[in-house]
Amino acid sequence: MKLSTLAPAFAVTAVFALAFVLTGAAAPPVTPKSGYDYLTPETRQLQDDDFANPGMLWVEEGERLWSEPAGTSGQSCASCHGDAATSMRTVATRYPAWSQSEGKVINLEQQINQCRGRQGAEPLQYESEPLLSLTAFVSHQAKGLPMSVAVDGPAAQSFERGKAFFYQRRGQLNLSCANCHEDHAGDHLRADVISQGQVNGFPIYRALWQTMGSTNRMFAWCNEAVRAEPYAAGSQEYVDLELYLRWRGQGLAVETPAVRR
Amino acid sequence: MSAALALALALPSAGAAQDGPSLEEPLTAEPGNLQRGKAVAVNSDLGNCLICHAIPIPEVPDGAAGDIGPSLGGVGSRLTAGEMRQRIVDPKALDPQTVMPAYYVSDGLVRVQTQYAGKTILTAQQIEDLVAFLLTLK
Ligand code: HEC
Ligand code: HEC
Ligand code: HEC
Repeated sequence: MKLSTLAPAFAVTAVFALAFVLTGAAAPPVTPKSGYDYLTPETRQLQDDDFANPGMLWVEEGERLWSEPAGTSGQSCASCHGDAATSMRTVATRYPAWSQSEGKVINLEQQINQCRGRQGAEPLQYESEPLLSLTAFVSHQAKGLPMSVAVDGPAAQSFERGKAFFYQRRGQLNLSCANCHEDHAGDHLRADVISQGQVNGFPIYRALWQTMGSTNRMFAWCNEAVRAEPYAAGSQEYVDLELYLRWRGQGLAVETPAVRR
Repeated sequence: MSAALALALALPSAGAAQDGPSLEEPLTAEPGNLQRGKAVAVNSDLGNCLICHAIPIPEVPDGAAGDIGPSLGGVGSRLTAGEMRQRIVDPKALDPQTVMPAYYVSDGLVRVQTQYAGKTILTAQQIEDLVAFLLTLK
């Protein structure tokens, strides 16, 4: 599908953050509905069947990498974390999350790359096969569990910036995420059904891409659809946006690896 | 052209189906060409109106168009040329909240991709061509 400067000054004041803590993040503005609910029965079937779901290839590769030694330490993920089915069971439900050592909210990919550092290995690039595979493998351990990110305390400012991003109109077509995914979920852009833009299935296997993609790739795609300059993968803007979206979908079950059109 | 200029050009609409401003003056000297206008409407690199609007013409298969906006069937009877032009040039003059893009406004936008920065989505002539085409949808 083809739908086709002013850096957003996200000034978040202490007052804003305080008001947020006092009132709580309340509830998402719309009852969360997974992208799955907007799919055709055929695509749902593809996702539901582990043998047919193409995303499972990345999960399997992630499982292999989990116990493969890497870097100067010669350690694997398993050396420190043991069996992912136990140690990683709930992790993806909580990310993006505040990192004390980084002093900012980080996404799962960045957490994995921190651990690559512990291994004495180079960080992995976004959309590279190993990073997609490890992210998919770790997220898959949480399949079926409800997303529940922390958006209070030190994460509050990140959350507010993500929310502002979601409602900011941008690009030559001058549309916000909300214009499509809040105002017009269930309607059609040409023949495409618009979903709520939930992130509970990521990384997703997207037929349009013929491969797996991260949340950051999706955000860039949606930015470019309105002819807006995308942000770099791993930019704080996209981390904040993902935190906000995970909160918008709180309670939705993790579906990784989801299959989308 | 800026939104402010579009508003400055706005004249009171003549017996309107549409409330609000209307642009009576054509944007170009050359009259609109309806064949070219049809191409602008359906081409996804140009108007791409089909992502949001059904257009009841044989060139558009059933189910190929979106439904964010109303069908443009009969729009030629509902709106005057001036109202049509205003709607395409800058629909925010009619409703600041609308999701319909402004096709002839290039400022006041946030983080436009470099290759589109400072440019309008359509040219003045393409808009005149579109108006000529839409007026035939009776
Ligand atoms: C012009 C319309 C439009 C805008 C604006 C838009 N998107 Fe999308 N988005 C789509 C379409 C079409 C799809 C693919 C079908 C679907 O799932 O909605 C999509 C898909 C998505 C998905 C994947 C959903 C899933 O279930 O896997 C996410 C996440 C998403 N968008 C987030 C965003 C964010 C964040 C923004 C703003 C930065 C945004 N979108 C802006 C049209 C849009
Ligand atoms: C040398 C030890 C070590 C290795 C090797 C290692 N990790 Fe970690 N990992 C840690 C420690 C320590 C933490 C806790 C960090 C923190 O809380 O800031 C952690 C945290 C994590 C977390 C977040 C868990 C949570 O509850 O928030 C994930 C996900 C993770 N590691 C994945 C991996 C992956 C994938 C690999 C292999 C690429 C890996 N780790 C390799 C030590 C390691
Ligand atoms: C992103 C969605 C979107 C796109 C793209 C779009 N429109 Fe619209 N359009 C709308 C909506 C929604 C309305 C309903 C009124 C409003 O909200 O402004 C509308 C209304 C109209 C109307 C008034 C219809 C009536 O019966 O009064 C005309 C004419 C029109 N659009 C023409 C076009 C043309 C021509 C194009 C392409 C060059 C186009 N639109 C592209 C969303 C869109």
